[in-house]
Amino acid sequence: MQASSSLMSGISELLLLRLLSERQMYGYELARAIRTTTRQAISVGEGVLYPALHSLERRGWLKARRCTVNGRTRVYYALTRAGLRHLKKITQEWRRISGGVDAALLGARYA
Amino acid sequence: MRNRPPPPLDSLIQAGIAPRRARRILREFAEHHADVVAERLNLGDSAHEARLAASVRVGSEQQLLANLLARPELRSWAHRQPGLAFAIAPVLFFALTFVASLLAMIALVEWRKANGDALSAASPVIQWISAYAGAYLLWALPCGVAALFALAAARRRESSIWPCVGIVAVCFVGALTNFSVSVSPDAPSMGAGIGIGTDHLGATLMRACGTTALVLLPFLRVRWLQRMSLLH
Repeated sequence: MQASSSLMSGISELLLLRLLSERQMYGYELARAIRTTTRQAISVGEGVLYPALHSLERRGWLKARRCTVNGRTRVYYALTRAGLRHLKKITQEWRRISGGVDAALLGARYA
Repeated sequence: MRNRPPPPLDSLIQAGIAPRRARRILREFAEHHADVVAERLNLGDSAHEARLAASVRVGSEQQLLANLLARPELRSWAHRQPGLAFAIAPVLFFALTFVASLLAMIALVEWRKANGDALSAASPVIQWISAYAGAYLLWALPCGVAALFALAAARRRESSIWPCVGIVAVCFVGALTNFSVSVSPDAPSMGAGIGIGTDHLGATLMRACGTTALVLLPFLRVRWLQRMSLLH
């Protein structure tokens, strides 16, 4: 079954902010990190990555910096303070929602 | 008749994504594609297989365009408010630079006076202001400001309507301004203002039309060339 695009968009936003809270990364590194850390369970289309990154940057949650590494120019993304605050907020929301869904799946019944 | 889709950069800019951001997105996308090709080559793929795998994984430029255009937040404010950006902002910016230029000239004169220069009609500062400031304030400044905003609109492939309104507005407001330097030997003075008088109506209109033509015609030519380059 295909997940709804808005749900996947929210998940990819959460994942990107979470990964970038550890260290700055460029697009290709981020795509690999998402595949590795989610044990291939979530595969964000690599072409979808850049619209998401630029959208997060435009909203002030990421900042981009151009660096030359081994003769190649990369655009590294890092979390801003506003991004960190937003990450905390959406992490709490995600835990609340996933906790609720887990409870329902584990067979919580109406009293 | 258009026989092929416009290049991705043009599509992004026409959709309202700022030119700098559009170029950066396409560059990052191409670099990502190259990284995936290199990764596949390291795994033993042939060059053809590696390119094919990269295209499947990263997607096409058309898919990237569709994903970008689905995000309205990536569109610049100038695209969302073209009237404000290309018609009202140029007039405000012209007024600001006009006043700032006058203040700079006053500051220069005061600074020379504070350093003990006796400012007479023969003074180099007064001679310089008398020779160039009028041409700068009454011609170069309105033309420069109107051209600057028109150029920004052309770079962003915006519709020509609002930039044309902006050019006409700045040039007409510029034509209403006046500046004069009196170089009487004992007490040189300068004055500036804005207004319209029936005694100088012809000259004002001539100046407005002259400055408008100086900016508007090259702008329309640039837009025409842009349109032609997209069609062929």
